[in-house]
Amino acid sequence: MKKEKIIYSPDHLKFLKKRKKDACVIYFFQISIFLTFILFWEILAKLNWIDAFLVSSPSRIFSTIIELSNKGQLWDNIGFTVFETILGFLFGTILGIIIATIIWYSPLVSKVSEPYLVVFNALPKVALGPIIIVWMGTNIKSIITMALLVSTIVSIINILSGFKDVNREEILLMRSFGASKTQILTKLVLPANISTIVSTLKINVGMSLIGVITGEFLVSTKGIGYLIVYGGQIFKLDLVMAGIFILGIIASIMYIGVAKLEHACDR
Amino acid sequence: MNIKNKIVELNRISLKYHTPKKEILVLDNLNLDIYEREFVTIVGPSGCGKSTTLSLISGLITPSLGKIFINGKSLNSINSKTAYMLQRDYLFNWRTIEENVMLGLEIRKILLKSNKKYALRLLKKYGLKKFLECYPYQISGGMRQKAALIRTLAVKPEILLLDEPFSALDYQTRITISEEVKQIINEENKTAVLVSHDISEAIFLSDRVVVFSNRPSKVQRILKIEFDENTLTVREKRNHKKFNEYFEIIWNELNKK
Repeated sequence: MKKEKIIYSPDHLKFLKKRKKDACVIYFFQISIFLTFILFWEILAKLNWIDAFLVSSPSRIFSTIIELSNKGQLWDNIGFTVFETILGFLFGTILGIIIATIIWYSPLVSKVSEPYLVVFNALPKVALGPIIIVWMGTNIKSIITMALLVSTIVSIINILSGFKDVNREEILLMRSFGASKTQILTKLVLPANISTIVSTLKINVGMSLIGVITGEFLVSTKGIGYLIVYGGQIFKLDLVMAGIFILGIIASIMYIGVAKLEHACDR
Repeated sequence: MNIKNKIVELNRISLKYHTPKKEILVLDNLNLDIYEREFVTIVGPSGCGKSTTLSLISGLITPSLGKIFINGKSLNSINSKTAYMLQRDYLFNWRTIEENVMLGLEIRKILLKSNKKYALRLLKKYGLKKFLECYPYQISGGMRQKAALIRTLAVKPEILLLDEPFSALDYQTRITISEEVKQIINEENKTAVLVSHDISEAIFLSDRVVVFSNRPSKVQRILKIEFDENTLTVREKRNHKKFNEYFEIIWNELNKK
């Protein structure tokens, strides 16, 4: 379809202007809340109204990050955490799709596995930490395993419920054409669930990050999670706060990336 | 219909459904013959097993007792001579109209040049040519239902199973589309079994109307629909005095205790 040139009426223009203005107001408040918070934090710390040793301050966080960067530790640690997280959420989602597919295939497997899924989902995965360390050793394998544990189970449950939500009459239609279960999967269930899978990816960015940071808390000598734990141990709260700040940025960037992907799929 | 070939024979069919608490007898000793190129409509109270009968003919479910014969042969798996048209069109939003129409061919793995050509010819013949590249959400309900019919016809079925295919359409579209569908089915020499709640629709589309009884259902009455001329339009049939007679008969059958 071709795009036609639209001529706006004055009322339409007014409407568009108002919309734009509303959007600006929202941005203004969002940004000024953030800046005010930073500013007050800084001022209160400078005036010694709050103890900067305990709560740090924006300028101290900033100089900590610069210091890390100068020592060449910043990008290393970020890269390490990001790498683990991406591995975690990609493989978590892929594993989720595969296991959900297996469960979908067989009503028997579906019913048998149900209580196990429920228990495994409810179980705090961090409790498995010691076992993972013993089995995998104090290395990246443990961290990835932790990330996978956290993200896979959520993926399975999410994707499986999407698979099961496929309209029964659409399946009837497929079957009336003589479709096999595999054909129903590839031609109906999977394409109908593209958006479920992408939204699972979105959830998994967060899930995988939880797993990775937990893993780094437990075993690592690298990564943002390690910086945070280390900072806590030596009572250097500037480092802890800097770590949290960097994590926030990493999480947002990854989330936005996947959201963009989702948008492209929705098109 | 000069030579009447029996294409479907339902022979003493019984069907039971089971729930943990009870057994439901849906069809009880049902006998029904359908002839080649015939348009048969099944009407009956809700839950009487009309749609179930279609599923039986398609081979998607097997009867508890009795036998189904298609062209004289006993049916024991999916019946590849039949194809469905359902209440909603179930065109997939991620496929264009053309791709949707090819779905059945793909599934049956007969996406040959000749079959594709046939489907495209149907699309063009019945006014969907300009929508080939469109997605289902871009075209009207009537057009979608027509596309669904062509998807059904593309696999060259002998028997079309129509499960209330018009009931989701608005009244006006419903009349024009049902008439068009009837015409397409005639032109392509198909046999059709329609399930409907709409008595008027049953009368102006069918050669025979089959009235099912309450559950457990059997055939309560078979009514042959014959207007004096063969080529009346829906509106002409509606105004025909026989229309009211047929309507009364079916109405009374449905309300019999």
